Amino acid sequence: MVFSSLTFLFVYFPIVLLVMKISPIKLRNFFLLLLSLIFYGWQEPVYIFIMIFSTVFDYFNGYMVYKYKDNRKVAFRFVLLSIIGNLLVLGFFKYFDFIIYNLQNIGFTSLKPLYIALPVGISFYTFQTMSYPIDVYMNNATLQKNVISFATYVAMFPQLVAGPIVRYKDIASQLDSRILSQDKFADGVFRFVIGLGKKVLFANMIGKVFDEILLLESNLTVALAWIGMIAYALQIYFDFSGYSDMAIGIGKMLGFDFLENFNYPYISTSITEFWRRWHISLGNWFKDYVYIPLGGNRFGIVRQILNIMVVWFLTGLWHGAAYNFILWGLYFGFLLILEKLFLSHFLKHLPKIVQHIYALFFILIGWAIFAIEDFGRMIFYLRSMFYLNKLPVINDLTIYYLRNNGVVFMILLLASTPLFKFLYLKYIKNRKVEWIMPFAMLLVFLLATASLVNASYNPFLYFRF
Amino acid sequence: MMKKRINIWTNVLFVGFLCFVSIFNLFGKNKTFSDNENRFLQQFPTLSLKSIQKGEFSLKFELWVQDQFVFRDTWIMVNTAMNMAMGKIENNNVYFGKDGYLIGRFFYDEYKKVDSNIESINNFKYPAYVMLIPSSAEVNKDKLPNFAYNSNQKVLEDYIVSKLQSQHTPISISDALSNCQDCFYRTDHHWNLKGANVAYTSFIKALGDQPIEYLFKEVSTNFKGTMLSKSGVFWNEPDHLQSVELLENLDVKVTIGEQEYDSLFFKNRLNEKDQYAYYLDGNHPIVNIENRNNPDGNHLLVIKDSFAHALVPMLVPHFHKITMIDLRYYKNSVSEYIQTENINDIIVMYNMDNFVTDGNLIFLK
Repeated sequence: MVFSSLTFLFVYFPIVLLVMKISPIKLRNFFLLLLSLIFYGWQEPVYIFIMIFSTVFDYFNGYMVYKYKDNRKVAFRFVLLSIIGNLLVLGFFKYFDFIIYNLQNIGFTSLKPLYIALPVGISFYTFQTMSYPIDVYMNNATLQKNVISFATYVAMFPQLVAGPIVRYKDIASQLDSRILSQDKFADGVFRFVIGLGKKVLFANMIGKVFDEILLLESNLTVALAWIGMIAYALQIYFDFSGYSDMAIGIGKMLGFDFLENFNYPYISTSITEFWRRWHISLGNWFKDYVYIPLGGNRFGIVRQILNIMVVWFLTGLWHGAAYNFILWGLYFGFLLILEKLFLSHFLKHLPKIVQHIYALFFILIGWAIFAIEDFGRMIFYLRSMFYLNKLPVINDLTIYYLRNNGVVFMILLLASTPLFKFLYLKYIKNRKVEWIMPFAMLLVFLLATASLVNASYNPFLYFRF
Repeated sequence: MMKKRINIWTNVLFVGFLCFVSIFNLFGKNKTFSDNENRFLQQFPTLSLKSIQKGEFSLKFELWVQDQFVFRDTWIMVNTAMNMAMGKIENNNVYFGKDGYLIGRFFYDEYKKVDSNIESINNFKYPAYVMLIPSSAEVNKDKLPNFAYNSNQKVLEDYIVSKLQSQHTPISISDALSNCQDCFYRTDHHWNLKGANVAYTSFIKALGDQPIEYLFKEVSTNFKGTMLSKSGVFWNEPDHLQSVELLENLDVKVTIGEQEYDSLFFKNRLNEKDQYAYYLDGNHPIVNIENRNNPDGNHLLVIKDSFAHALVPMLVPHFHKITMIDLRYYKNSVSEYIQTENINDIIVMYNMDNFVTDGNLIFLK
């Protein structure tokens, strides 16, 4: 199930609110776990078992790490066991077929892929469960005695599908006691509806543009190639950050405080800054559990460069089992190293606007690599962006796209900066007009519902006849 | 204090809306069919351990929630209105045209399918007339919103005609139609009788015959066509639908499958959503029309899509027999049919939109 579905909004979520309201505090985690498992197993019930395995496995590892906390060597073995176990699970479900395809390409033609359906959220929860024994080992967290509480942490539906990746240490105390209040619930409502609007209204409204432009051949003008890439950048940002907002909002309604996952990434002045503002929880995870354990910057510049490339190779691979994701990761690793070595010092002296253009330029090229899995198509598209296909710079089709989506583009571009937040803080918050906020919330909710209902409207079946 | 009140309002409105809609959905009456979409709606799925385990239940359950959502059409209209407010000039690839015209976008970026369709016609050894019918986007250019973009159908027609082999005779109607006002429905992708009449005149003249002056009379004022459904502009003024006076009393036998009828017009279709099926009962693999008033006339074969349905009735007085074949449903050999029947003339008649997208012309053998 996903948050942006009518079933979630108008069947599942009301039930969750009701159950949470009437259940005694002691049983809240248990019910939340139960509801989360239904959420998780909604489409593929058998995969619940993988999650339960992962949970019990890491509960056990965490326990053993704690038990042998005075014997670092033994404790470390259980950390290692957890890492290997989780990576095997993740590797099997996410990368097995990818490996088989590659082996087929180099001659092992008798191998056959298994066509495994990727279990929802497996990339997220394997990382989360792994973080528990590691946190205990590093003394960042204490032992969780209650297996229900631990399972609640793993399965908790708000962040299950698409993050934020919650590290165990960040949420440990909230599992056993959390504050629920009228005010916090209202904060959660606002956050959730903002996220819903970002995903359902903004991302979906612009989503068609890139899909259509990607299919063009002789009409892919230079301008359209850029318009398409900007549309994709906006789509993926509002889609993903909207989903994170919804997760954080639901968390608040249930009493949890998750960490922020996005912070206006497109106002960055460098790639380094971009990655501090984009999918923050993933960056933090890799920093805490890969980069620093590898030695970080403590063993000289050569080792640091190597560490950065390892982290970004893995970051790319984590996003999907395909070469373009690996290339995308390495691309950013390379840019980050350049910035670390000399580019940042150089850029610092340039006007701010140049720094913004620099960052956005490389972010957009990055999205082209990320979005287009087929390498032939990717090259064609990138060439179009730079007039290397000798297609026109602009044509009537380009004008049409600008006319049809101009307003949407303007709104989304502005919404990807802190402008609206600034206006809210300056002119609305704590002033008389603040009373409009609940109604604005309701309006966004209504429009998002309209958009979701419309998505099910499928009048294409007979139009050719 | 004020903050407190605002938060309470927020929570009440949010939870209130959730509960209101959920409860309405739960107790609302299930509909079985959606006219606008021309499909059956999902009913509550059967619950069994097996259907849950296979994920079938959840899939159908979600479809059920979507399809039976309370005030579904109203939500869709709200969404359309929102798109309009956001400055969009189309929805689902239907332009919001001037004067209530809803015009389907015509766009192609590659010639592959066009070339394969031309090849199919060229490989067909019987000489035929070939008529390409421009779509509303071309004919109603002046009704399009500013900056709307459609591929040029005139260029496409010239391209197709230039590739056509000499055994076939093209009949171009695009010039005649380009000056034609109100020749297409505002809410449907088809042409109306006035538009079809322009093509009728061109074709009859090409056959060396004299066109008849037809008079039309209104039979419906509430035709809501496919473009209205697709665009989501449900509040658009509906179209009027007409009949041809002279043809209503013709002594004809229309054979569709096993059934025989004595009229070219099907009144009962006016009670349905797709009123365009009033003409010759809509889509069928093969339809035979016999005109008993003209026993010495020729036998015409029409290879066609649904645009022909408005035109063919007007051709009936000129022939003894007319056979319509729709290659989307007719999968037997057309050549064999021509050999067994005594066919005198053949016309291939396609709307441009279908010609660039439809793959069924390969069955023209």
